[in-house]
Amino acid sequence: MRLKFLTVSKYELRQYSRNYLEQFFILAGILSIFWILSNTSQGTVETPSSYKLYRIGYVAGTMSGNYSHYTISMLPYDSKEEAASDLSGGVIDVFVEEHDSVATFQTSGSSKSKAALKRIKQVIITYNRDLIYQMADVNETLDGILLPIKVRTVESEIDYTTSIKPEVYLHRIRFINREGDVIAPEELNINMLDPESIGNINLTEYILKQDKYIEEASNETSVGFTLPEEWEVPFVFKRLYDNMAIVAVSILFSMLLTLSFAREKVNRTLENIFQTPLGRWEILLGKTLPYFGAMALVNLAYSIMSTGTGAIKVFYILTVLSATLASFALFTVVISKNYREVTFTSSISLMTFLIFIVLPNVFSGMNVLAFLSPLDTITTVQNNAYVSYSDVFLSLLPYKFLTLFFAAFTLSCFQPEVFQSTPGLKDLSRAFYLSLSRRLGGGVKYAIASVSLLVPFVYIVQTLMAYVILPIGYMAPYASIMLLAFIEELVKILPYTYNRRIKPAVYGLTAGLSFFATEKLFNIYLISKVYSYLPTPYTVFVVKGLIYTMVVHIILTTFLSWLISKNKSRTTFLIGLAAVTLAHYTYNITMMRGGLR
Amino acid sequence: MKGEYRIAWREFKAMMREKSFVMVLLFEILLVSSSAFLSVGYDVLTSPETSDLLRGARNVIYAGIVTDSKTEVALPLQQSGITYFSYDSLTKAEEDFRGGLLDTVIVGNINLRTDPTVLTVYLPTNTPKVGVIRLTLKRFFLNLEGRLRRVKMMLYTPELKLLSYDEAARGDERNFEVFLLFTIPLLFFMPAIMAGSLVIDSLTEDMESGRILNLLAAPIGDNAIVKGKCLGALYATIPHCIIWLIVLSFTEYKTLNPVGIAVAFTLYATLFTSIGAVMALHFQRNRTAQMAYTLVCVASIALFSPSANASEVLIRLSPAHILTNLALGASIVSVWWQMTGVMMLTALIGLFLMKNAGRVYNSYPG
Repeated sequence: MRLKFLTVSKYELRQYSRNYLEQFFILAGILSIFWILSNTSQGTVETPSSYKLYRIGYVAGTMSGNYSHYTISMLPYDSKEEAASDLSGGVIDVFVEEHDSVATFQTSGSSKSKAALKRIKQVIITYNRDLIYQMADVNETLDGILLPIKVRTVESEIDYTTSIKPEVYLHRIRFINREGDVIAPEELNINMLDPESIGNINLTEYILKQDKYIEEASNETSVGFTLPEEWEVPFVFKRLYDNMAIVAVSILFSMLLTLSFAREKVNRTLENIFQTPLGRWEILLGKTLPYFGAMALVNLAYSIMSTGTGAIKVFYILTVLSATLASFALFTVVISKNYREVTFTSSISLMTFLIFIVLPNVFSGMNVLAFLSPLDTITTVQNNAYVSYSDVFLSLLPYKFLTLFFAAFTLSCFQPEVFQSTPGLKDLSRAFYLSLSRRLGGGVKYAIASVSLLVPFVYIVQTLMAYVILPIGYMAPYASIMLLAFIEELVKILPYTYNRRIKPAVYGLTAGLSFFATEKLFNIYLISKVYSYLPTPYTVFVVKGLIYTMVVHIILTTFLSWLISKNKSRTTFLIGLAAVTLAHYTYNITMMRGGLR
Repeated sequence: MKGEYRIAWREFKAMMREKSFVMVLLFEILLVSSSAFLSVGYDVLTSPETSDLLRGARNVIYAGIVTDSKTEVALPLQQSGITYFSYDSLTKAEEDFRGGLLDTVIVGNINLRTDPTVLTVYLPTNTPKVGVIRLTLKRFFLNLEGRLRRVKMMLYTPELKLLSYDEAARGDERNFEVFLLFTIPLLFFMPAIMAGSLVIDSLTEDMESGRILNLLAAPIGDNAIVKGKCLGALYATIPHCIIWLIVLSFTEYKTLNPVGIAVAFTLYATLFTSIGAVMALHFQRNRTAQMAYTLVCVASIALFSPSANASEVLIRLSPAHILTNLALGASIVSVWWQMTGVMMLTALIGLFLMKNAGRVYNSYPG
């Protein structure tokens, strides 16, 4: 059988093969992405926005004149009064006085003044450090007094595959109660806070044992003695930056796919392709294949180079993300009318996507919120820490459903009459649901599929609220719960508004069940990793009152679908939606307060 | 009304209809809402020991300690946010370390003699936490070292003095730097970059689809077409600057020189609009023009990063430096040479643009 879609792929590739300028730009783009992200190293670097930001006044002739830092300008004053006057006038941010090696600061009380104070304290630490090194260099007998700690590091690889399974990790975290007090776990061989143990330690034995231990251990390396100041801290997000670079390459290819596809739309050249004997899916597949292939190749090379035995897992995760990006690229063109809309829809959505997958990594190794990000899973695999195949599979479910939604939407709307007439989002949604209804018969199957495909959006909103808008969530918990209730109810009823042939009771039951099941399926992974550690309101939604929740979903959807089947006016729909949102919100609040248990 | 203004007004209306205006605002809101998180990463990158990351965190790093000097290490451990367990035997501690239950083991006694104290630290190499563990331990070591040094200096070298500071004046204003160093410069620069992208989209779409023919048939010059498209992009982006200046004026971090910011923004937006128009006219294809423009954007965004620290001229030319200073109340006169440079560059590109505006004719497929 001849793979007809390859003809479209060949046509797509030919556009680039003749255009050396575009080849150059693509290469330059990829190289600059790698250069920026992969060469990021840690150090005392500052951004130009902070250059000489703070003005610090001091009395001329004192030690303060020796302070220097990227962010501060030191301004000498002849008298304290003169400086005080300038401080109140906002000319300087802080005034520093010295008496007997003690620096006293005067601030104006403004935010800038307080921020300047924080910086000047850092400067003093650096100043003292230089002074100490100078004194220790001049007089070696002072070495052990001025530099009283030396650190010897023994590094070894821990076999987490047999020792630190997730349940052990989670169990350990549970030793800590809500107040943060340490509760001695039975599993640990510790003699915590036991006064009897103090004084029973023979340190000489320890040191001797350590030396022997280091010599004997084959997989350990002992780095000599280090001063605390010179103790090396690797850039915490180094791996993340590398992984971001790879995802950025996928984003670049997905943008090229968008632009290429959009060009066909603008130039109306797709009409010619529609005339060919190729099917719609073959055209879409043919156009996507070169870009997706390039993404997959880069992903494969990176997975093999950066990871040992876990390369398959890393490749799988990156490829699922690439598939999401490719399907989104096609979706963007379908919903956009022109280049401007393509540019903005892509920019905003890709930024959201990046934030969505990158931000949880801020918590990497510190907080279970990091488990939300596939990039964190990659980092964990790359570190040879324990990650099961089921974890990898489950953690990517929302991305797979998202890809499915974008692909289904694109395929439904990719018809000559719909695609070229550039209708609005409302008409496109109608085309999508009608197409789905035609294919699935408009009954139970339609209700299940149409609702399930929308659940990733609920997941995105929930997740964004869990960490990006967390401060807002804390400040306005009731508002965020109301928003969640509204989105969930909207997602459940939206497919019904496009296909009212199904009976309200049947729709309510299947849509409610389908929503409940898909949402919980997405959360299976997170329940074990994330939600059990989060305070209310997030915990209660997932781990408590599951049966009640299911019943509430079914009843509210049935009620609303019944209501709009009786009266098709927009006002009825809006009133009904407001009513079920309020009921959903009330239920959530009741659950938060411990009701229905 | 002159031709270019009519085109600009139509462009603006089209953008409003397409909701591009609202989408740019949405983009900026995303930027503002995520900037606090982005700054955390940056904070760790620039100064890990003093960053606020993990400052208030508890129960993140699990350490086993094997020492007689339990009292001496207790406070520094707590202040560094380390959860610690005291062991009476290295073997037992090692067992738990190898079992993955401890992140690190610290062994050694603190001495007050003139020789240094040696602490041995066991560390894993293969955990995602390794950076965080080392970062936290460094804080612990520095804290302990500072305390021990003070005591030893009192005992052995009371004549030596280090500079200390009066703790009465406290400053902990994290949000100030987040907003002033990250959010505000990006907020008033990104829309300027977007203006260039809007012109590319508008010009290339008309050229590629052949709709430029309608404009060419109208009694207006080719210069007016290009100028009109550029003005349309400026109409759509300058209001963003004004909206954000108004929004910020209600917050604690209001800009102290809003006029200066508005002037600088307009100059940047005009510069990027001209660059976008040149790219569009030169390449005539959206994809190629957008690719080239992206490289220009990356180069200008690089001026926001420490890459600009290569020379003081680059730092002072950085839009981030200029916008932050203007937001803090610096006069526009204090950045006169930078602004003059932007104006001259814009004028040069504008002249080039007007000279090459005739290329819109070349694009017509007929």
